[in-house]
Amino acid sequence: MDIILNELKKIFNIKSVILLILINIIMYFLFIEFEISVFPNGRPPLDIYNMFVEMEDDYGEFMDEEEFKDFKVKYEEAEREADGYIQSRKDFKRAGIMNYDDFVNMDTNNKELKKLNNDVIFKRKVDVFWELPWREEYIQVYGNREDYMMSKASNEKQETRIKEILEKNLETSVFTDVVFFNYDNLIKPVAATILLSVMFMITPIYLRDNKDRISYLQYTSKTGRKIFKKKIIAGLLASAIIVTLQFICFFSIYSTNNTSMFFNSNINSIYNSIISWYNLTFIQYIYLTVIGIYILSFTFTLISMLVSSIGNNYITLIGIQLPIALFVFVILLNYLIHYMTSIFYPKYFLELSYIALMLISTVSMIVRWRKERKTDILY
Amino acid sequence: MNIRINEFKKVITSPIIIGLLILFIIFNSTIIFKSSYIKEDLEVLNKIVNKFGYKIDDKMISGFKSYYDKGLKRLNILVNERESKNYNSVSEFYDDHNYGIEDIYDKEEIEFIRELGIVEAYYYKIGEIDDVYSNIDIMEKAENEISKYGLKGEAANTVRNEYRDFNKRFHQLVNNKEHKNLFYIGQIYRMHSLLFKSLFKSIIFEIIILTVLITSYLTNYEFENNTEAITYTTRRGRNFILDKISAAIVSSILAAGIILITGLGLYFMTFDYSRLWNVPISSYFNADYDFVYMSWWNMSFVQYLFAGIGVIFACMLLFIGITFIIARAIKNNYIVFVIFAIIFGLFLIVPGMAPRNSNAIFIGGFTPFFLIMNPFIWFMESGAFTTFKYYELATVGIWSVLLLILGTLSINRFKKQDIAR
Repeated sequence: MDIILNELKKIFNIKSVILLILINIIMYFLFIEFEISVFPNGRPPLDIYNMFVEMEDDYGEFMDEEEFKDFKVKYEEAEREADGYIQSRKDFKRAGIMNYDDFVNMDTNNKELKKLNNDVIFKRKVDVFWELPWREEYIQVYGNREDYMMSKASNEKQETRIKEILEKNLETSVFTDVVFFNYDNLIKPVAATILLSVMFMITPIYLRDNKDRISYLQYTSKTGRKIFKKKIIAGLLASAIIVTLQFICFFSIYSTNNTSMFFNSNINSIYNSIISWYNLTFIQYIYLTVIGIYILSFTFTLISMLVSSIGNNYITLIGIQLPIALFVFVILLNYLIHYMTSIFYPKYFLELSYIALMLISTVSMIVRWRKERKTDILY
Repeated sequence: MNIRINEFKKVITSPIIIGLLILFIIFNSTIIFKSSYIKEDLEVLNKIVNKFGYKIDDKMISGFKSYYDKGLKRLNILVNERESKNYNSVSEFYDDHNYGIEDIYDKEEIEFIRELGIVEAYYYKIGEIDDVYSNIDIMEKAENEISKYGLKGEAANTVRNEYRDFNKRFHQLVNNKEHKNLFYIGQIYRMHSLLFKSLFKSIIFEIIILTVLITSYLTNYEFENNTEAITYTTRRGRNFILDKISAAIVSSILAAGIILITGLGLYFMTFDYSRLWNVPISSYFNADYDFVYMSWWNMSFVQYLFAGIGVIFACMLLFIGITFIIARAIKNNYIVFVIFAIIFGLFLIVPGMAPRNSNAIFIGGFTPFFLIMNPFIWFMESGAFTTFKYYELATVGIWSVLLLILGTLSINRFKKQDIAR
């Protein structure tokens, strides 16, 4: 136990911790901060978000036919409000625009009318005029929801899955793409930051001792080569600590986006852009990404340790780790974290990829340990 | 044997540097191959240039018009035969055949129609040049940039001044008829972005990675291998560090040269630019998105290319300097690399925090880190922060002086330092 504790102390030395914090600050400002500070990003996302918060309040997790009628009534109310606004302005009357219908159908090639349109929508940003087109759109989508859902299927398996969703009426879930897309855009750089941090902290684990030739002392002591295994445990523990701390930081920052009311909504909504193989709620989806990132971190902890035990100087380690990191961030994350469980992947793609990654890293580490156990010590 | 050659050997025999070089070359090739499918479309322009030259003047236009009309006539004869219809343009023809034309026409004819469609695109583009350029308002662009970044006060005025200068250049450009030259249509093929954005940017990052590794590897080699007590106590002594710098520079140039030659070589073998070397880079056709690329000087494509390569090499030298100063202070190469990356990141995010109403916001633009982020708009109108006429030269100049001073101080300090681990 003492050895593991001391190994942890070596991993979390003050210099590395300071650099780790700096790396995280930079990654945050370069890739994460934007989706946090400007959520919902401009208009109409803001209007859509507000509309869905209201729907969630009124209808709960699903919007059934009864509630849909109420949704239509809300549309009419909003239209009346727009009518009222139009009638309250004299310049509209002069242009011959009497109600919202006229406003929508007005000829925007006409310069004067275009100016009025811009004034209402872009200059004064009257809420109801931003909201109405989307309410209309969403009523239409809800009405034709079966066709909409079916049109997304491109093969038989996807078709059966969509039919299953339609049967259970999961598509009526009150959940919006604005929230989901934002989370997806956040979790990818977060995953990259976490993996980068883990790789940075774990990579020197063996080389540090090999370079100082401490391993010769270690291997001839009573503990002997078992220390190799203990370092693996220390490394995995360290990465668990790093990942957990980073998740705590991230989710406390993410909570400022105010999306908790949607946690129990099913993600297979017609208003969302993912159709999943599973009936997940948003919070379950979040758990899933967290689990995925934990698995990825342990995998790349093991790979980093493998590289560390093979390389003989730091340049070699960087030279090997850099292409691996770039491959993970640019390609792997786009398959393993992006839109997890979506039907545009084959059904068991996700499970198999994660299992394959775990197997590869564990097996290669076991092979490395077997070799290390028998290797001669040469100076 | 010369000690420098031995230093140089340390780099070129390092398997990791060679491995990375090969990996990078493969990566660059995939960027090019991913876009190589447009190769045949580009041939159409080469045919046109062979017939009429790339300069657009009255003689060329009339020649080109009769060439296009002839093609259109041939198309109509062909269509009349099969469908007894007439079209005024190829796009009209395509609009009428949404479901494909494979059933009605054979392969050769489809090829002819496709080519004529491209010729037509160039023909219409030539026709709209004067119209488009009379509508370009550089000062309006300045205001757009100001509101895009929310600049105010002093900063906004600086941007206006930049664009006022550029406005003069714009009129000169139009007077020179630099815009009236044929080039691959940007909006369709995005050749400028492919070469100067995708390829250049990945080349630049690869060169940075290699130079940082090479420089820190050489600088800290003796400390890594426990030979510092021998090498630095010889007659050559601490001056050895100067040999290390020169070896780092030579081997970085070599590595950068290999990457550039293989990358650009493959690019120009895939895409045929042989007739377009001397086309001004500010050509109207060279517009990948809604705004035309306009350079500060009257540069041809090949001049622009070499100027860009020059900036890459200059930046590479700057990065060698930066890495050397870090590596001289820190003995652990792993930490050197990470600190370099952190400095890189800090130089990108800290300047953005400057107040939006003071000129301080522009200072952050004048760093090699910011410079290399946008290689496709070097020497050009390039947004609020970098549209200064001598932006590239100033950045490289200021940093060279700065790094020379810091580097000399660092070496002097090293010469007096106690050798300790």
